[in-house]
Amino acid sequence: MNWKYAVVLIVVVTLSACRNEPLRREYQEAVFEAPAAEPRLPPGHPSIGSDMNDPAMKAMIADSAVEAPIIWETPDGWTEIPGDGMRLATLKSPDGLVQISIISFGGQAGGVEGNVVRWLGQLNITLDDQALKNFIAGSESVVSIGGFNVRIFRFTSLAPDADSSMIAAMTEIPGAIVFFKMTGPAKNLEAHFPDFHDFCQSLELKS
Amino acid sequence: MNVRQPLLAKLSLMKHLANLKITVTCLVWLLILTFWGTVAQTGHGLYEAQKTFFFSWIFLAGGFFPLPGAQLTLWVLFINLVSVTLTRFVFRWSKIGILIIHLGLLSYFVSAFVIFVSTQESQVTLLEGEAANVSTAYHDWELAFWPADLSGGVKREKHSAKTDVVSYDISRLKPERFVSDFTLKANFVVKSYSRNADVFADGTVKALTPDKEPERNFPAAVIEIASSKPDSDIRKMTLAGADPDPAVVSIGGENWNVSLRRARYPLPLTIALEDFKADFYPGTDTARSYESYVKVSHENLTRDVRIYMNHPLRFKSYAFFQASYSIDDRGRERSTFAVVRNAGGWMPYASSLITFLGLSIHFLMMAFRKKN
Repeated sequence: MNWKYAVVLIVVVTLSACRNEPLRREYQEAVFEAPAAEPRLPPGHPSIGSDMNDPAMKAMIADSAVEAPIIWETPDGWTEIPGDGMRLATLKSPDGLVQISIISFGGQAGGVEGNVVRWLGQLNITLDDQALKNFIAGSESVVSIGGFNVRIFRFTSLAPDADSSMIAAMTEIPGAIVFFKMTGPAKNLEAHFPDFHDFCQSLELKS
Repeated sequence: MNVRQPLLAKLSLMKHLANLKITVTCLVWLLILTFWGTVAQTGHGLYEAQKTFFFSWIFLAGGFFPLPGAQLTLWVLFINLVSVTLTRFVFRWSKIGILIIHLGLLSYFVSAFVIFVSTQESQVTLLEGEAANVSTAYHDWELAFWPADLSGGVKREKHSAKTDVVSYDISRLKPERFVSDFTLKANFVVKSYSRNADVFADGTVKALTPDKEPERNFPAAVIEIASSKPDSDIRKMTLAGADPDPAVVSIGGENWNVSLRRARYPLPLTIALEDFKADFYPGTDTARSYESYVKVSHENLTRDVRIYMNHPLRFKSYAFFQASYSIDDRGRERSTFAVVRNAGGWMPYASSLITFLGLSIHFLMMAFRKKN
């Protein structure tokens, strides 16, 4: 009789250790996104992009917002607008058609490929896996006067006539990753690329 | 004469388990654990304190001295009470009320066990106009794969309207464990996994000490994946839990999104946030009350529901509580619902009913006996 109780006890105790969820699951996910709403930002305020409203992105931003100890040289004729939080500053071109956003993250920034894919998504550009690899491999690297390796991605090469395009750069500095996004019509971005290039070269640590 | 009692009385193990000292020791220890666990929440956080004191079998006091956790103590108490019931109770009709009361008390333990095993807590956050049929875990993360639509010049969507997802509980994928998936037609291996980590631009991962509040942790994983076809290229990927966008991998000519994200749990309904309303105290940003107007769809039936404080939406074994809200820079309102799945939610009521029944019978029998 004893062993029967022992078996019952073992079964009950084993059951209590069972996990709720299996290792592998298959399910159907349906997420219906809300229609786009008009932004309520002040006139002239640079777009903050829809990703900023993603809860995971918000959590990441809250976790990542750091004041990057970095300085740069504003290109001749460009206007600098001070930023706040993770946006360090916004630079506006003399013709007003192009702007550079300088954004810093405290480390959790998704990696090169993750960011390139995200930027491609923002520009409605699709690349297959091999083309994506080629695009990343073909990016230009600039060493700034402060010794930072700045990787530049010219999305204008993928859609030269696009009305809205981007040339983006990213670099790692102590304790943060800094992104530089020059946005505007593709042709204007190309025209301002030398300024952007010089700007990337001017990056150095605050003394 | 009852035939069961002499039989069980012969079992020495049962007699030992039915010792009253065990009952008293367990009750006193539970009292201490409750006090200790409550105080520990201030230093360790709610989640860690619950895990250490209440959900554990054994925990290490001071990091070295093993002590029984609440789960082990409750099991011992349960077994003790069962043993007491089986060995000491002599069935008589005059004692039927007492027996039912004890069965009711034991069924509380069964209820607690079922609820402990089956309860699943998660949340749904919806922008006005959004709808979802999945909820998101607070602490658990999954390695999710779903088809990537790269066709037609349309950007890769984070979520298409309906997506078939294959997911793995990342915490249970041991490093270097080889996984072969028939849906993906791929093999993959998790090379490393960190519960909390920084991922740098070059793909390197720096593991961090996990925060005591698990929702502050963002994991990272390095995986190697290849098509299950022979001689396929192996692709190494670094996935960051903080990255809101999935990576894309081509497996055997098919494109898949890959994401390390908080686990999603399918819901038995689709919930759409129609409107969110918040009343604020005059001149402040402090909400006096807030409520959500949702549309709930299930099998071609749709109904409107108002969810507000202490008035959750209950559907099958699920309850949707109004938990919080946010208003973004664009003035758009988001409502967050705490989703609790509790398959045994009715069981405490049944236990209470059994106990009430036992008490009623016993008191009535006592009353009639006195009268006679």
